[in-house]
Amino acid sequence: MRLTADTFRALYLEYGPRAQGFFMRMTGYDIELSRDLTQDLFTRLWSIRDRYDSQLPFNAWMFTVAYNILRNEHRRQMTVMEYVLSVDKEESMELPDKIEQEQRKSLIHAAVDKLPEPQKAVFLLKYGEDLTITEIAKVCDIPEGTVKSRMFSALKAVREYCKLNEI
Amino acid sequence: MDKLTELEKESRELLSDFRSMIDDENKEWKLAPLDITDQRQQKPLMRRIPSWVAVAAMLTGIAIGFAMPHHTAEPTARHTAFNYADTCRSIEQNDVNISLLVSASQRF
Repeated sequence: MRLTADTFRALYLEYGPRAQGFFMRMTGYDIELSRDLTQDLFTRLWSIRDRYDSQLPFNAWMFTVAYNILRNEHRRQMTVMEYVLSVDKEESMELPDKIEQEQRKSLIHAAVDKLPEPQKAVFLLKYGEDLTITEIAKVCDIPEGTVKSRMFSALKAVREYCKLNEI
Repeated sequence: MDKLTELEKESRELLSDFRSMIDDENKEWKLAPLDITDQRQQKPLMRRIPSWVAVAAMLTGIAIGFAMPHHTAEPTARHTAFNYADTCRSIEQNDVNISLLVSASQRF
C-alpha cells in the first residue's frame, strides 16, 4: 500500500495521540519532549514510507519506530508524576463509586509509572495499545518468550502495588 | 492455562480501568501540525542542473581568476620594504605616528 500525504495525515490524526501518549508515559510525562518525539516519529515514518509493509498493522510499525526513537534518546530520570484529579465542586458530590474508580485509576497510573522501562514498554503496548505478543516482540526486538515474561512481571508488580496502597 | 493468562484473568478489572485511563488521556493530547509534502518527484537543486552547465561555470570561473590582476610576492615585498625603510627613518628621527605604524604593520 502506497502512503500518500493525505492518507498519512489521516493516520497521524488517528494514531498520533496514541504515539504521543506512549511517549508521555515512557518519559515520565514530559510534555515538550513527547511532542518533539511524536513529530520526529511521524517525520521519520514519512521519510521511510516506502519500507512500510502493509501486511503489518500501521500501529505496530509505528510503535516499532517509536520504540527505537525512545531507545536512542538519552535516558532520563523518570519520576512518578502525581496524578491530580481536578474536580468541580459539583463533581465532588458524585456517587462514591465514581470517586473510588478515579482513585483506583490514579493508583494504577502510579504503579505503571514505577515499572522498569523494559517492562513498562511491554505493559503499555499490550494493555494500552492492544498489540499482540508477536507484534510486541517485533517492536521491542525481543523473543516472544521475553515479551510474555515481562508482561507477567509487570502485571504482577502493578497488582501488588495497587493492593499495597489500596484505600 | 498458563500463568500469564491466569494472572490476566484475575486482573480483568484492573486492566479494564487501565485501558479506559489510557483512552481518556489520549483524547487530551493536542497534536502539533504535521509538515509533510508529496514532493518525491522534485529532485534537489544540484541534481537538476545538467552536468555540462556545472563544468562550463567552473571553467569560466577559472578563466576569470587567471585574467584578473592579482598580487604576486614581488610587488608586495617591494611595497613592504619601502614602507619599512621609511618607518625606520621616521623612528630614528623621532618623528613617527604610532597609530599609523600599527595600522601599516597590520596591513602587511
